[in-house]
Amino acid sequence: MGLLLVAGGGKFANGAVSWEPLRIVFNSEATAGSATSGEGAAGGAFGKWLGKLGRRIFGPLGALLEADNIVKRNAYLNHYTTDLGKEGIVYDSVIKMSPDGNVYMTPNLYSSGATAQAQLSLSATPVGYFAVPLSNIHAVSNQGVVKPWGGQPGGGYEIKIPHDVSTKGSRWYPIGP
Amino acid sequence: MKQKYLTVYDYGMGAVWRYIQAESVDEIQNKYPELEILDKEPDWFSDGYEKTIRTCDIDDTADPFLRKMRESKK
Repeated sequence: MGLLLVAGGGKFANGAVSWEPLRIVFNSEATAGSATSGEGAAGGAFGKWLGKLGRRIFGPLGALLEADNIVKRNAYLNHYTTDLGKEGIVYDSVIKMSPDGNVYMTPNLYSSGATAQAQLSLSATPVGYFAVPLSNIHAVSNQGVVKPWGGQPGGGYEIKIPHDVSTKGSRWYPIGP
Repeated sequence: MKQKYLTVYDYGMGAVWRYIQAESVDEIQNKYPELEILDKEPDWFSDGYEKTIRTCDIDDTADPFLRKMRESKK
């Protein structure tokens, strides 16, 4: 299976710098470079050529991304956490699943912990985020707009990853309160 | 005699898991109130997943995750 990320448009009203909303579509490796489902799928001979080129450079996942020409813009997803969570993640070198069996990622970038907490409906205020290479993500179980929860309004975008995620190649970015 | 307890710190987008060897649930809760103690492993724990979780003593000094929690209480 591979991921196909499709860039949309938009900017967050709170002024936070963000990637545009993404749409992720599963595709089998057999269809890499000629995905048949989802907007933005690379169709036709040109798409197949890009797919082959991308596969040669980046492997099957890269083929999908290169075909959409968005590798450079969307090569990372973000994982917000608390000070304590960061300590555990750094020591373990892995982001482990929540009790519900998912790691949550977002394409959104927030400069404020309070804003991240609100839009991602988190129970605790994050102090920063790990930017995680897409190559560390091997499956997606679901995705969508974050719903209100625990008194937080939601509204951010979440991607559910049904496996532990390695921090290899990740970078930590602290954010303000 | 110490027993092994499965604990989790759930920060919303992920979690930090530890098997902690302690005398009792109360001992863990008193020392690390941030941790939730599970009485059984989640259903999604696949074979061997528990081996990916660190096991440590309640007074472990090497684990910065546990150390951070102890420091925050001071």
